[in-house]
Amino acid sequence: MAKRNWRLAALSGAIVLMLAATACGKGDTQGSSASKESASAAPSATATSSQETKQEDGPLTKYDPPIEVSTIYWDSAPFKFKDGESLDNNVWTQEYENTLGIKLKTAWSFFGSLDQYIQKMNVAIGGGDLPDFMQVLPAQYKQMAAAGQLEDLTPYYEKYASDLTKDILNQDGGVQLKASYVGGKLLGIPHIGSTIDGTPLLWVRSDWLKKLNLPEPKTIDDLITIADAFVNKDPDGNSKADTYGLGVSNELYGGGPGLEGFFNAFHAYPGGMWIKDSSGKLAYGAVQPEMKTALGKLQEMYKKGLIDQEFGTKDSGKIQEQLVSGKLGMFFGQMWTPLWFGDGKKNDPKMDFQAYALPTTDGQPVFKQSGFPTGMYWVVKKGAAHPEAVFKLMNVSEEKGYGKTADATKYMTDNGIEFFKYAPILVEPPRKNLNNHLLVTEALNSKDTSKLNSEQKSIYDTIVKYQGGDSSGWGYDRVFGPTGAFSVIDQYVKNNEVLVTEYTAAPTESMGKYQSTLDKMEKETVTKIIMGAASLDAFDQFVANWKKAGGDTITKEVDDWAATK
Amino acid sequence: MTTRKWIREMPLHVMLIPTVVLLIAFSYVPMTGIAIAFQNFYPGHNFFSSPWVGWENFQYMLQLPGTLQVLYNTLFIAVLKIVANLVVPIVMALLLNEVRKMWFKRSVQTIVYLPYFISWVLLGGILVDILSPSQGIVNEILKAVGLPSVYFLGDNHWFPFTLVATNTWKEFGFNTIVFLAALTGINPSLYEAACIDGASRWKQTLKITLPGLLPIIILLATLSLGNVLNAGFDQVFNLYNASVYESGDIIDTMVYRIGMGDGQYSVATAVGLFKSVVSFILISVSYLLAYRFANYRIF
Amino acid sequence: MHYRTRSHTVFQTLNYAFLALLSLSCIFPFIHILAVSFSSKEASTAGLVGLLPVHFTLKSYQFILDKPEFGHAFVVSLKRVAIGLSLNMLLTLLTAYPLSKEVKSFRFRTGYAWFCVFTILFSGGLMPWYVTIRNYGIMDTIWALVLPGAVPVFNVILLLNFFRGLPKELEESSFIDGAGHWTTLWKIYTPLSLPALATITLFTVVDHWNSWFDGLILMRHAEHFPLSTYLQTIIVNVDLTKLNSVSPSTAEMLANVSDRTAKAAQICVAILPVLLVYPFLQKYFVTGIVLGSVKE
Repeated sequence: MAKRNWRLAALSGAIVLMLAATACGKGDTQGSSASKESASAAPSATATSSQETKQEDGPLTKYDPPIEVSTIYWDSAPFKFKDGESLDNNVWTQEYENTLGIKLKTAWSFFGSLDQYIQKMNVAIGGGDLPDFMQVLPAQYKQMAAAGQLEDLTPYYEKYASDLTKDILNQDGGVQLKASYVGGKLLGIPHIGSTIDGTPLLWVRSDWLKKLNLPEPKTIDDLITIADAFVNKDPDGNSKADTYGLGVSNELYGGGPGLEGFFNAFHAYPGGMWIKDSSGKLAYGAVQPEMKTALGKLQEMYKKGLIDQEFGTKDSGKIQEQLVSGKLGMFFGQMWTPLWFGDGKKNDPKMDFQAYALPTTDGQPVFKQSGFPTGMYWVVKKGAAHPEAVFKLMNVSEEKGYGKTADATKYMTDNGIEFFKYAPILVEPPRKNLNNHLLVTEALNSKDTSKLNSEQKSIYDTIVKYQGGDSSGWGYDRVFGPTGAFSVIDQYVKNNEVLVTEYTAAPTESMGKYQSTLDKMEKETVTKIIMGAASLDAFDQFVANWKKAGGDTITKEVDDWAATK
Repeated sequence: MTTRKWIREMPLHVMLIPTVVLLIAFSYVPMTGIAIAFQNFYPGHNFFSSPWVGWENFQYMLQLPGTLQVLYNTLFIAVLKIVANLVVPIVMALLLNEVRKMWFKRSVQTIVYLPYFISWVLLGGILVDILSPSQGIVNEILKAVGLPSVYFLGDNHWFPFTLVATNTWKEFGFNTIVFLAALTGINPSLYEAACIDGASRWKQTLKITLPGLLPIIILLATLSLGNVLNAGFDQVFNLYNASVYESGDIIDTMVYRIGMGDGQYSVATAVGLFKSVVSFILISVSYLLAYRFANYRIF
Repeated sequence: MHYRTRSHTVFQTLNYAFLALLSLSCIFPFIHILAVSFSSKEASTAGLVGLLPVHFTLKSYQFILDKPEFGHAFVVSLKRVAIGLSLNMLLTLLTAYPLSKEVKSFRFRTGYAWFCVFTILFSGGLMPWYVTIRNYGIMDTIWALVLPGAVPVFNVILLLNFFRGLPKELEESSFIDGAGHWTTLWKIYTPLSLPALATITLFTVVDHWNSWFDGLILMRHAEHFPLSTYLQTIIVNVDLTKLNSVSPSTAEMLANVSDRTAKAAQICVAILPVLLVYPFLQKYFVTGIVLGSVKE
């Protein structure tokens, strides 16, 4: 489970805000003059507040003389900068230096895939080559805690976290913050994530539905009817049998095409989920009997040709290819997917996708699974000269990002350049994306944009343009628009149908040892059963093997953990 | 006498000083880290201060389900690769040696060397298309000849051979170079003499060219024994998938999976040590055999 | 040396045909990548590009020119090859020469040989390697990329075997003329080993040009990455399915990151230098040198 979870917010990382470059082409004269003004205004405002607290060291007290704090930057692609700015000199480093007297130093930076970043970090951690503070994965958090590499932040949290910081860290009811304590000590600040953004949806090509006169997918039987029609009734009208039914990638689970949604319809919860079983004990989702029923259905679909016969060798990149080339019309995936295959709209302007709530098999409510949302922890190296500095930095980041003095065009995004990425510690409010959808939809109805912040305004503008016929905003409309993905997620939340994993701590010792082996067994069995290379009963054998190969030990550890919670 | 010998050999020692210094600094010093194979290594500690656990890390690997299968896969794939990577380049060098048109020889050499520079990440995506049973060109050819189509990347019977074939294809051009260089070392007067004796081209290849290449063949064969447990991480990682774990999972992919979940420094070191010991034994034995029976020092 | 037998003609025809086909199979992926680099992003993301560009455009090459990272990395790689090659060749010669001697003329050769070979068999693993290099204080510098592999033992063994193949009389006559070991190495051995040296040069250049893992681990700042490391970071697909929750802006960014045309263009430009080196070195092992004439 850990594997999946740490990858989660890992990438969403510090990413908080978006601004389509198209949306803010105009009005930069206004933006730049405004940012100049606030640049001179902001420090003086905070300067007064820090003078008041001069006697006692507090959340925003300035260091005099200034101190130096080192950290690590990571993202999937290199940051973009305005002319003259750089990693060591930008709006955020200036802000920290002016208000806090903290000079940020880049210990190292890396732009590439998460796996590569982990390799780099593991070596650095193993060699004890750490900056003052950094973001680490749950497994590393646990390991560093055990090795005594981390500073205890418990006393500093009370004294130095501002009210806004505390508020943001507790927005989920304090679940994730509580889960970060190791042996009663807060050794890291959790990167609070959203439990709703990652819930599965069913995406279907609505233009094909209309063309072939098909029902909306309310049940799994509907889904099979649709898949059948997509495969056999030539939805793209090229008289070739070259379209696919239900998109499945060889990774099986995840945000792109992932089968979680299909399994959820059968009340099965794979992909690292821990659920409460009928006796109230914690149980691993992927080895429950409901899985078998769902697998039987998938095997049947594969046999009928409703799933790509070669899905075993097709990764998510190939699925993206099928979507962009208009060969695939249905898959389970998360809310952001239209932005990922938006090129398809350019290839075929008729293409349209609609997000649907997960179908049912029995009319019972379908719960949508969500992994544990804390993907990373900010930790402070043991022996760092100023352990409290990490909270001070966070206070300023949250204030300028989401507080009363927030200024999105100065600190977050402008002209397609994402400034918020330079902030080494920043947590976005978990409900942010859903709120954006709700407010934007409201504004679209009322035509009143006064309640929108700059981020929401840019989404609004993009969608208005899309409605006016500019197809480049299609992806944003499908995610945030009135009938977009979040309108479905809003229903999930209202109906209380989001099921968060019950295990919320860093990986246990046996997970570190056995999880990867168990994951491999699971993936192999599920793939083989779907492809018909193994009989459905192979699932029972898998469950037995799973228990023997460490699954029982892990379950016991998880139960022990639950007992102490 | 001994002093004179010392003086005579002195320059040779001097020549080796930089090498010895660099190897000690960058190879032997880090080797002390092998100690952590027998520890439960704590990150941030030095290589001797974590608790000692004896053979526990080795036992852990052995008791994981499927380890024996993985070991078998690794050996099977690696040995086939070693053989193919020797035989194909030798044949290739001999064939090129027969080409008389210089422009053709040069062009072929340059072109076959190209695939070596395309990484497996990229090649992986291309191969999935080329080898697809429904649309791939390879299966189109098979079908045209009347053969059944094959799921090269999704069938456990075919997968290891697909790995070997694609790896050989990618690297033979590069590996051929060393044999081409060796061919230039064969004394042309030998061929002239053979010609006068009326030996056919084929006879010359057997009697002059191959024996001329023999030392380099033996040398490369011996050194490649060191790879008997290296089945090629990059390639397997980019080509395998859950349906062929059974035949395609190798030691390196296994260690990678384990290490990614949890930075298992000690386990990775233990596996590395195991591989080193096996290579060391194989290479030492072949070195000694070559010396005993052929009085030839490989290095 | 002319063969007019019928079987030989048949063989030659088949040989040419076979080599031509083989070349075709090797050049195919490269042409595909080239075609992708000249295609539009939409067409390549849809997988529509085969061997010819679809919607021809030079955009991705424009993209490289605009990208500072590519240029930085290119320069680092050139530096690495220049320093690494000189160092490697020098040390290869200096090591191979003494080791090519017989035991009777250099008593310790076998000890030294095993001392070298041992280092390719055993290593302390990733982390000790990292810690050592950090302790030497060369992290994040070009020296971290060239010093740890300064003695290419594999190449040393190749060269020492080649040296042994040289006629013994050469060495003897050189000594009789009063030359010492140093002169013999530079004046006799080196010029006679050009095919082997050309081969080793090629191996070394390619090796330095292609190595990416050391750059990934030993370089602290992205702008110090050599080209191959940089390429590796952009080529490896950010695997979206492995992420539990992705923000919309990440998804959009990753859709751009996965732009295959830009990757293809960068790969093509990155392969160029190694391709250009090849023809220069090729002549040494296509034609070969005639040892007989030196021998007399």
